Amino acid sequence: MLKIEHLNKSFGSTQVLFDVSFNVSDGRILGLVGKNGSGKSTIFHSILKFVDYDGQISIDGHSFSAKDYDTIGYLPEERSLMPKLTIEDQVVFLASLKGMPAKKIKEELPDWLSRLAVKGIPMDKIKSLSKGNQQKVQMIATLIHQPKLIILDEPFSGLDPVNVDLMKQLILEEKRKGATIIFSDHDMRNVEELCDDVVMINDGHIVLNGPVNEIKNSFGLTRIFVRTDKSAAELSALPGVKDVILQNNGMKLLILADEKYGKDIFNQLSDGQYIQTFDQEPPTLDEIFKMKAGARHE
Amino acid sequence: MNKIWLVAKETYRREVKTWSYLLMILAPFLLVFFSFVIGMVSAGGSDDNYVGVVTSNSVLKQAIKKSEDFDNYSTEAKAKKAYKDEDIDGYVLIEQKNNQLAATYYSDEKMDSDLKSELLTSLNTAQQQLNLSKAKLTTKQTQSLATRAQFKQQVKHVEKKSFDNDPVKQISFWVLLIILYMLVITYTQVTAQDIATEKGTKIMEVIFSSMPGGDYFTGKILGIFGEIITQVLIYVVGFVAVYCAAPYIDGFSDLFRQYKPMIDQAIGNLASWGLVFTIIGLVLFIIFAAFCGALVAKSENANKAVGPLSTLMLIGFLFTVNMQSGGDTIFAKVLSYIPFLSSFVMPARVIMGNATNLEAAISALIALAATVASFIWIRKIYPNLILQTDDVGPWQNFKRSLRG
Repeated sequence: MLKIEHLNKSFGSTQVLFDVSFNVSDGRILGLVGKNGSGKSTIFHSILKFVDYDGQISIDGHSFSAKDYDTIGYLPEERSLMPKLTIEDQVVFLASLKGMPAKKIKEELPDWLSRLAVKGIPMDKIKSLSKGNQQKVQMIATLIHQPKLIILDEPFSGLDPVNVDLMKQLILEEKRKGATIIFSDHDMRNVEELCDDVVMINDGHIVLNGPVNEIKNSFGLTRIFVRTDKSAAELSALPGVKDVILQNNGMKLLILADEKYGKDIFNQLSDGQYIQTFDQEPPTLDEIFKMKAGARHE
Repeated sequence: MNKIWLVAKETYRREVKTWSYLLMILAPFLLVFFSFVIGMVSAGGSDDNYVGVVTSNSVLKQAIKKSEDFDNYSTEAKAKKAYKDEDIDGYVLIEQKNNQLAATYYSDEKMDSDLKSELLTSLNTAQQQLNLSKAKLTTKQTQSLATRAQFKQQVKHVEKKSFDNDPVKQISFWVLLIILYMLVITYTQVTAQDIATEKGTKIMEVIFSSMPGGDYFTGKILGIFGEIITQVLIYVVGFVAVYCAAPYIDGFSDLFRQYKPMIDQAIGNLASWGLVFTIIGLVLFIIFAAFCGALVAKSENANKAVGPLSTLMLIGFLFTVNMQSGGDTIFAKVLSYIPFLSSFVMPARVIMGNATNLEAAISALIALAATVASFIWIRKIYPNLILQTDDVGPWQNFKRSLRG
């Protein structure tokens, strides 16, 4: 288990992290979400000891040792490979630093390239690859040594939807193998789809921390997706409706003051008749994020 | 330690595989090769740069026979024909009338001063023989006439030591200076460029997630030093090969034998303090070149960042060149104890005989202490420097790195 306790970090006179504490349990995926500059990368840099900090960061009950760093796979926010090296030389160098024998890396590399559908062979130069393929090679370099703790800083940025799906599958596969994964992303849909737990950070403070479903449900089933002939004005007049947002395909989203109004609204809209769509849900992480990020600004 | 060696190996392997490194290694060999070829071609072209001599004097004939620049011709007609056929540059007709030798040179151009001097020496010797035989002197009288004045020197105090008249010291001085200058200028650029390029690719975060940044810095410096050792070893092997083969190369062996004692002495000069200061100076310059490279965010700014270091090196180089004529001033004495500059100045002072071994040892210790202290300090701030990837300028980058 990765445990972060009372993490504080300042750059000069500017404090960027304030008493940050959270855990990542073994075999789970934690999403670290927050606006740009909220302190996500600084948390990663603290875990990796790139920066000095106040507080405690431990793994399996002890401080990180040199040996523990060999069991970490890290994908930084800015993709980075040496363009003049071949794929093989690059992956061998980076994975060797994690203690994996060069021979084993060379044996396994073709399989990884094939799994991630990289268009290239091990002896191709990095600079000859497309940007997407370079990102995949970097992901291979991050995962090939079978890390126990995987830290991914915005792993999907810059990838097309097909490759995003490929990466998601890879992350879930690593989870199935028992890896503990922590990743940051701006797109809350990715977090909802992949993560067991979420930590939301805003201006260096943790504003939400816990399992994704529990957090969502704690905000109540305050969203109703409905397909009806009634106008937005008519819907706004229903009890407990705070807002009506028009969606695609004639769908309308009703924002409720409380989930208890759902039953009355259903009865009124259906009036004992068939209703095409009526779906009462908790708010999305995206909405929660906007609420929380906005709240601190106000 | 294993990871440090991995980094050193990768740094070394990546650089020595490049064409630029190969060219850098081969450049001096190519220079020597082409100089040799050009020399051969010029020598071949100068085969006919002889001057014909027509004389009946036996003493002169013997002297001309031994000369490499003159050829005997039995008649003026033969010499004239050779001149017409451009086999010779001209010919000298030497006539003897009333026991006096008279030489006349026929050519399109004046005789070269060295040739003229050589010919006059032979002519005067022959004329002396004629004079002696005409005077009909006894052996004792002849010996008495051969007596020469004596000249001795007793120097009590030497104001300023220089090596204007000592070719061994001159060779040692220039070889040392040029080797140090070439190595420093090459490897400061290579190091700064390499570090800045790595920083520009932002790969360092990945690497630092596997090992401490300070260890990476150590590996990097070791790898670069490996490149230097490889280059120097190749040159040493090349030099030893030439040194061993020279006595057996036709046309080169005589020259080599003539200068061998001088070469041996020059090697002795270089292999002592010169070597110590070259190694310490190189390491110090490379450590700071890595520091300069880590200050910039883009690889294209690496040369700019290393500018102050190049200036420092140029000051050391030019000052030392000036010492050849300027001698051992108080300024030279002070600079020979200042790290960076001492690598140039102190070995030159030792070669010139202006510094004792104790002075050299003190200077070397100061330079070594500065090198170790710089290494420890830069090793500590290196990770912060490298991870500052915003293009805010070297000074801001440096300040940020100190904040951690």
